[in-house]
Amino acid sequence: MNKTPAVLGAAAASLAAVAAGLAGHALAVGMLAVALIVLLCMIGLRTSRRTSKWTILTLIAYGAAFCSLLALSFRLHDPAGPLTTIGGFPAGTAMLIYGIAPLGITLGVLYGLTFDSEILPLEKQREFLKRFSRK
Amino acid sequence: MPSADSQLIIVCVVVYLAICSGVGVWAMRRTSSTADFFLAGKSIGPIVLVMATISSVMSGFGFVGGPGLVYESGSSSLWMVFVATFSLPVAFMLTGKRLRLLVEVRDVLTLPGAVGARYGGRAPALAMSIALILGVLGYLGTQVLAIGTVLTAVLGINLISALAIGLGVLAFYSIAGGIVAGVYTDLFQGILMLGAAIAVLLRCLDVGGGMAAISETLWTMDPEYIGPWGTRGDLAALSWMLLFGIGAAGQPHAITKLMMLKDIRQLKWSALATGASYVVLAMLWMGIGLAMRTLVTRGDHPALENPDLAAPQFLLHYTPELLAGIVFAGLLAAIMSTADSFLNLGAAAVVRDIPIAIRGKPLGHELFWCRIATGALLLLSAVFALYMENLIALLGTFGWGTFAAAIVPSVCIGMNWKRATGQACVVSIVVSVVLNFVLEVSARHGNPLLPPGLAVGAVALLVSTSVFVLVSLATPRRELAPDMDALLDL
Repeated sequence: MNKTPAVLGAAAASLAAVAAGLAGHALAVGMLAVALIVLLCMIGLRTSRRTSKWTILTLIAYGAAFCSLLALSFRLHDPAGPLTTIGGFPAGTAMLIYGIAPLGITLGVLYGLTFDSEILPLEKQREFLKRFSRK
Repeated sequence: MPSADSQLIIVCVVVYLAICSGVGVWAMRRTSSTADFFLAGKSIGPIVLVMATISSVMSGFGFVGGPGLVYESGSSSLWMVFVATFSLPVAFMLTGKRLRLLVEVRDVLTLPGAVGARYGGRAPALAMSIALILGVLGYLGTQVLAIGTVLTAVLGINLISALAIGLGVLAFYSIAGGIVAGVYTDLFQGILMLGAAIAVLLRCLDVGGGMAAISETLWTMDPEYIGPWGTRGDLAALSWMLLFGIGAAGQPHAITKLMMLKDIRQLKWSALATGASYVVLAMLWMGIGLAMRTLVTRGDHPALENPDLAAPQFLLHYTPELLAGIVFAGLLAAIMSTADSFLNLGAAAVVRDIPIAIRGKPLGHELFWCRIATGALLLLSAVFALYMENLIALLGTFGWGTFAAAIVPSVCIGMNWKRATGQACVVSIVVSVVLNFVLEVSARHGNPLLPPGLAVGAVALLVSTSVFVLVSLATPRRELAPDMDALLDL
């Protein structure tokens, strides 16, 4: 499986994030960090032809939801206005506590659900160990 | 730190130290080889894996520095910990199966060993070993200092006596039982802290009058403080998100635990459990910081001289004695757990990785020298902590960022991308160490080279990742050994 496009994407996102950081654009740093996370997941998960389109779509949807929550954090934070709370936290902060943090569980669930079929099918593991194990 | 007069708190701490010593004795009987000493004989189950990983990542900084950061700057540092739900699964995705399978096909017991196997040649493993030792010394020094500080406060004794007791117990169980003792004390510590974190959060909410009342008070004081970015601002919060969200995959004390798993199939749900458990621990980080700031703002508690007093002050004044005792024991546990992991990594680098990188084979009588190296490293870090506090503070600060910048490209990407080269690995590690050091020193001397708020480690991580990819593409690709080629295809 050629992972070079995803790796190149990660390098480009990294350079762009450095530029955004040096220019002081916090939201751009956040969005590029999300892009980098999604690309790293693709680099880590994608193997041969086993990776399903659903896995890729889930990662893309995760990235899109994450970016939306980041943008909402900026939009909902109005220090000059009255306090609006969601679940006890100011609305902007609630996007982290009740949005971004629980959303992260998606990746743990994805890893668990695809482990047997895509990440490490049992027969592939056995075949690999049969060929190369030191035991 | 205030002194705790409560006999119950002292009893909890003493019982904890006794349990650690007991685990040390038990683990000593199970440690008869270097594979036992460094990888717990590849025998741990998923629950131990989860607890050992979260315990070693949530160091003393998590229980003292974390609440202190929240007390000082509000929501800013929450972006370090609430990202754990995805940062730890990302670490599993990038490194889990390949590091664990590598242990089955090569004589690999450590991260530099894995780097050596992946890239061939000696320079990549040597560069990784040196980066590890620098980070280990910094982390160890800060943990040693924290052990002394906590025991001084709890037992009411001087620093030297506190260090003698704390380091004596740590030395005993880490020298005798290696990482076997480490992971099983982590199991006990992790369970203890998960329960305590929930109990303390409930107490924080109770003391503050509920989350909405806490938010109301803090919003009136300063809307930025309880807003999404805290008083350090959006750039600091989001660059921390980047550094901690991605950099967790580059923490050697976390990812080497993946190599210890008995059955690789147990990785399956461990990623989810590790991320979710860590966030439960983060409740303590957030709860205490916000509750103490609320109490101070309302005039119910005097202002703190030092933000790091937030956790001990809250525990001593606002929690039942037994809970305070458990959390103090857990605090000590978190510090010792991290210290133990770093002692093990440091000893491996000195006894195994550097000799293999230089002369092609490890030292003879390896297990004996591992134990000597563990003791020597502990002694050295105690001397550093007592007499070179500034150096320790500097190394401690750049520890996470250096590990992230050195390990994410070379291990996390390198173990997944066949085009990565050994030259790129060495260059990116050198860049990560130098850049972290230069940016950190310049910031400490009042000449920051980065815009206010932008995390040094985040920049180093991004630059070293780009450098790694570009140098890999610019240097000739080396033919991979058949096992490594097949491993990267899996």
